[in-house]
Amino acid sequence: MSVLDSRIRVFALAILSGVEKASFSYLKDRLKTTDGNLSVHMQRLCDAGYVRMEKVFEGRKPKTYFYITEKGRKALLEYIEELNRSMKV
Amino acid sequence: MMEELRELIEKSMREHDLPYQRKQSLIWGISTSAGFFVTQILFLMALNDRLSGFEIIPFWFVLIAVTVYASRKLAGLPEVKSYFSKLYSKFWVAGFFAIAMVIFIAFLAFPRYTGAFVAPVVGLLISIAGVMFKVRYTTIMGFLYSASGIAMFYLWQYQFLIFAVMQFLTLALPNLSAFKKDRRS
Repeated sequence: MSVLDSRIRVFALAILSGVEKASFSYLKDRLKTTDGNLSVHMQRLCDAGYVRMEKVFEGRKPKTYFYITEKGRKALLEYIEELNRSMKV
Repeated sequence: MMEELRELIEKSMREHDLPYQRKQSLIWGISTSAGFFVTQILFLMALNDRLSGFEIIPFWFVLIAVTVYASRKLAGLPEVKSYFSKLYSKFWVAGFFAIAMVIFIAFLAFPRYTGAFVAPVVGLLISIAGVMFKVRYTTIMGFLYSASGIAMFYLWQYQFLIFAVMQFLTLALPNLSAFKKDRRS
């Protein structure tokens, strides 16, 4: 099963492609999903090397940021091209 | 799906953490207007030969350091940093450089009227920021800020008081409720 077979993972990658970085809670709000669900999907993207994760502390509270990698950007572009091709057929 | 993806990418590129920005504006607005108010008192004392006037410089160094610390503690970190936010930060870095240059030149040429030369530049930058965010209040305040340069020219003894009022009206007043409720959605 491909990493970009999931709608949430594709959308998360699309959001990250437009920003320099985004927090976990920002992605959760934009994707309208739960903490548990999102963390599983983000872990999958991290494992594939499409996304880089960074943990920082805001006072005593930990905050997680995500960045898209070059590999992730390339994968998203390929996915969009594939989608375009399939729509033309 | 394609349309949704396009919308997501476009929206992300324009994204800006407004609640965070409002908190920052409130903190800097209160701090700088208080700073200008104190500067006005020190300036009047200097005019009456009760101070040398150089106390103002270390005072501002301390104020900026305290404000940077307070803004990090109170406003926290932004939820998102888009390419638009990056561009906006660069715009202000360039803006502060322009303001510093104007202060330097005006202070050498017409020290008494430094405020009258600086206010139009600050006002212009604020107006541009208002246009970028499509906030009418900020755009109008930018024009008023620029116009306050005229008042600073005639009332040069009170130029720092005018700066204090303008900073409060532009940055602090519209963001007084920034900490009341977290409007992140």
